Amino acid sequence: MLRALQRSGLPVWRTQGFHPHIYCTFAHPLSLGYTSSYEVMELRVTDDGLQSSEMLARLQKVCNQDIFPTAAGDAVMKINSLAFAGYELLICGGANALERIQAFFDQPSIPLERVSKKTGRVSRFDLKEKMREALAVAQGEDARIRLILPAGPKETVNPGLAAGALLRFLGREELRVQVHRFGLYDQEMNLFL
Amino acid sequence: MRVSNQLESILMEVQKPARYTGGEVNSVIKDPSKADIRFAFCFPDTYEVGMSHLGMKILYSVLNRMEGVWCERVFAPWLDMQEAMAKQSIPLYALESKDPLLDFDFIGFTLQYELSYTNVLAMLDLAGLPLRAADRGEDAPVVIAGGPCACNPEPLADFIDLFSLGEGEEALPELMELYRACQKEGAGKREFLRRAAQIPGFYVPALYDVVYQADGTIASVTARAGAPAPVEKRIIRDLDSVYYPEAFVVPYLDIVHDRAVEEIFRGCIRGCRFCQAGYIYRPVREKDPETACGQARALCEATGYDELSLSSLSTSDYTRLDGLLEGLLSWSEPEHVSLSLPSLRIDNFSSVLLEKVSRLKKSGLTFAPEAGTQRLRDVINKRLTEEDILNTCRTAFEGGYTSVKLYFMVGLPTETDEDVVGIARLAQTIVDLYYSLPAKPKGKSVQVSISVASFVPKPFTPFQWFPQNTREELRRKQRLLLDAVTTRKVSVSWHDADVSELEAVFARGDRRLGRVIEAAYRRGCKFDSWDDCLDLEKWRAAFRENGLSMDFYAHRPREYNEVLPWDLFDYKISRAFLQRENEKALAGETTPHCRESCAGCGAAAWKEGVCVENRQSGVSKKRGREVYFPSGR
Repeated sequence: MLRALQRSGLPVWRTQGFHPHIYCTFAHPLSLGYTSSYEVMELRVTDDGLQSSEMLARLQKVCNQDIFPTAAGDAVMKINSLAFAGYELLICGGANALERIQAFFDQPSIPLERVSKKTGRVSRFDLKEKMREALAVAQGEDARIRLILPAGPKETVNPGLAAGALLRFLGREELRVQVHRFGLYDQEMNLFL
Repeated sequence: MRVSNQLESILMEVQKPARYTGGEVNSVIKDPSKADIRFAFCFPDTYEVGMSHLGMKILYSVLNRMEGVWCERVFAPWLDMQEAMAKQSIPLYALESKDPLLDFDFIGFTLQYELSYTNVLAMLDLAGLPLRAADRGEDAPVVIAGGPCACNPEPLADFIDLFSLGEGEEALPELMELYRACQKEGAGKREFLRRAAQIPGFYVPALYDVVYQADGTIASVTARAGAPAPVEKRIIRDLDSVYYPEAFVVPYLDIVHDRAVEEIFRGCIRGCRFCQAGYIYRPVREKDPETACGQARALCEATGYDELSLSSLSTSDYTRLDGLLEGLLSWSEPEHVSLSLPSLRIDNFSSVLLEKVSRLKKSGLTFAPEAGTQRLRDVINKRLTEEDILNTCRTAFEGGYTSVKLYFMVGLPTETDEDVVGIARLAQTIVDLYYSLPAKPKGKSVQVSISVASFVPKPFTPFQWFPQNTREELRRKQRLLLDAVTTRKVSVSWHDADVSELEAVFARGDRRLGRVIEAAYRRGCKFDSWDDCLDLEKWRAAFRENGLSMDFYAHRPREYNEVLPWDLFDYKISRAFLQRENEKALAGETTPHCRESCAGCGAAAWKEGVCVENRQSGVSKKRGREVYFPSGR
């Protein structure tokens, strides 16, 4: 994305250190292997008169269709107000296990373990307490699950953990799971802008 | 099932999946129904290594500019991906279309280093092709290879249909047109290869018979079916008019050299006697600064790279470097593009250049004295005095630098223990120089890093007849050097002697080594240039199995009259010149560089570049040494 910004020739603000670089922040970087239709990137421009529409057009012109900007506007929320992310989990070949999938999410508690990347420390938590929504529907031979999970500076739950626990519950660890993020939200579930 | 569908199931199981997905900015997608020639350009190493290679970027663009030709990229999958692909029966595929290599007309390899040879076999195998050219049918893709190692392609002769010798920007399009004509006429692969051998710069090994003597040396090489002997390399005569890519494919993951690269000249005037590149890329041909500047700017705009590196064998020998830097800095600074200048010579690194480099990205300073004593530097024709080295270090230290990296070699011809210890002594002298300078950076220590490679004798160099030191001898010299370093301000790092030995074997190998490469591959050898993958025991077993010895190829002195495997190839570097240089090396005599006087190497036959420059046009004195700046270009 930094190279796309450089290609666009937009008047982006750069850091003022010994090796100046474009200032650019992603609200919540996407994990490897996931797709998304809603990501937020924040940057500063040095030309106050630059219209958002022009900025978007110039960026779209130099971007690959696989990473394509869809909207531009003034930053409304601060990064630290980000609280949730919405995901769709596609369980390939999982349509015939739809009832069991829903049963997994309807359990009174779903104990999970996560390992800290920094310290390697294992912590336990209840997925049930963390998730806002979990709804499974059939889509052809596959099962599609809509899931809202904490995502932000205070706490993040990786949907891969939920997917792994679900497959173990089903006894179907061979099934392939595709994760797609469709939204980022603040504490009140307003779309992050 | 299509490869792209199968891939989704394995990508999350392997390291760095972006190596295998394609879809990068500036990658070329064409309609396969409109491409009558499909070319799979293979780099026999990982994506990160291959994507850093300038030659591949150039030829990818050259081929894709041609109407009806679609060139795609293929890299060697890392071991985890190879395993995953095998489990799912996914054949090797090209990144752009995800089509299997069997669907292509050409499979082209670039041979950048000898230790990639087993990966060539691995890639053919993963593609589902028989390894040996003789076992592949008329309908199989044509397998072609080029690059610097193709100057002695004989170890791979059994596996490759044809080799491209020299520079490919003009030769490859000619080959594509021939292929197209053959397709129209209904001429098969065999006939295509017979005709391809008639195009200068192409070598079809199946058209030559090699007979060996009882002692293993070559008795004769005979051409058949009207194939030429010798086979001449190709060069680009005018670097200003030849196509240079307007855009590079921009990777999604970090690669080894992740920046825009502008080539400023080919060849080298110096004639260091160990350096193959210095001979096989002759004559020196420069690009006009205006051309280079315009191409570099277009490249940065098309890629979004904010770093630009100049590429050549010796950047500071570019005759118009000052003008080029001024031109580049005029737009690179406002556009926030940093410049880097690799390959600077230690004897023409001036304070003016240092001042310019200081405006560029400040990276470490690296120079290559190559040998620790004046005697040995004269033997290798480095033409560098200790005074040159110390003057440059003084300039750098007074300019604020506190560390320098120096490249050396051990195992050079005529080397004595005194020469080896001389490396440590020179490093210590540089440390002492730093502390003697009143203008040194305040309160900072100095660091002199020494990187030591083992000498590998290469074809088309004056040292092509010399034996390589044995591994034991190289290791003894490494210990000797380590013992001679007495301060922590000097650090020493090594290239592995095992790797160098294999390199020496294949650099000067003959066709019989094809059996060894295949046997080693069958035993599991791949990615041999990676320290953690090289298994010398398997290689030794492969040699034993085929009744050949590494000593014969690496450690045996050759007589001047021996027929060498690469004698068939005409790189316009005469044997008589190489022999003269070899004899001068033994006498400790140096040879002036091409801008001082012509040494009669043979490259003048091209009537291009430095060979036709006016050497009398301008002379300037620089630190007591004459440096010539030709004019009138």
